[in-house]
Amino acid sequence: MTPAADAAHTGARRLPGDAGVWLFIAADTFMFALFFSSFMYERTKNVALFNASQQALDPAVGALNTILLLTGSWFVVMAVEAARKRLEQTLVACLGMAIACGIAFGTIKVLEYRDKIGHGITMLTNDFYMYYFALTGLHFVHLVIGVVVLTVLSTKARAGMAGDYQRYLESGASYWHMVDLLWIMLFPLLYLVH
Amino acid sequence: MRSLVVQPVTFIWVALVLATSFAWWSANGGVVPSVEATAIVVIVAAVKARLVILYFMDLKAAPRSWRLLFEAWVALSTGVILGGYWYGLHAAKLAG
Repeated sequence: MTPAADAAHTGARRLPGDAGVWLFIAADTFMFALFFSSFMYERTKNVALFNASQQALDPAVGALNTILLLTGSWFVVMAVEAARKRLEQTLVACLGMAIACGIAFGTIKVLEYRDKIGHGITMLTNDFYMYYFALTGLHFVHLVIGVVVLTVLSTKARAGMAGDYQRYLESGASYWHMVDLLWIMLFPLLYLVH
Repeated sequence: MRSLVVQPVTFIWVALVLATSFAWWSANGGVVPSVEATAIVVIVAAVKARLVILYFMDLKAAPRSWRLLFEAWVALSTGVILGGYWYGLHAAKLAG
């Protein structure tokens, strides 16, 4: 039974994982909302430059990366469900797939950075690219932390899901979904809005 | 594994992937002009974000204050992007 179904069954409303992690997620997402507004504000000052700069980005790459993160998130949801059912092998497999999705996203991002830098485009090129590198770079840091967290959770699962494992897993899962959530808004903002 | 895959959350994932493909198609040679396409992709992103919050992050079953907080984030982010875009269109018209 999923937590949603579980809560519906018992009638109790429940926040997955640790409330402290959720406070961090809330603060982090609202900070990104501030960055979105800052980006849009700068864009209004020079719409033509932002639109022209965006042409050098490949939206297919952004879409592929979105799908990779969505798929990773789906595997993480299944991992939480597997842990609840004490299906250790399935849990480890799902976490492994989510980690693979995260690594694939990161690899594509690095290749994208390399391509841009190879064409002489850096953070100092113009305001659009300053935001592009800063926002995707900050998101990349979140992604790397997420991959590390999922790897630790996978190692702990192999060691037998001791102690408060379910709570740690749910907290890590919530963090991972945040990485997905932020990219869902960053993708149209940087690649598609023109 | 099969019992985990055959769950409502899998349909949410399929919907999210289809929505992403639709947004990409809309913005790249879709059937509507670019201003409408931009509005569509931002609204599609808002719907996707909401699906992730409710079904992946499981805030549908969480205390209402947490759900409201993140629903507000989606509304704020969407509003800021659409509002900024609309303002940018007017700024371009005023300048040109």
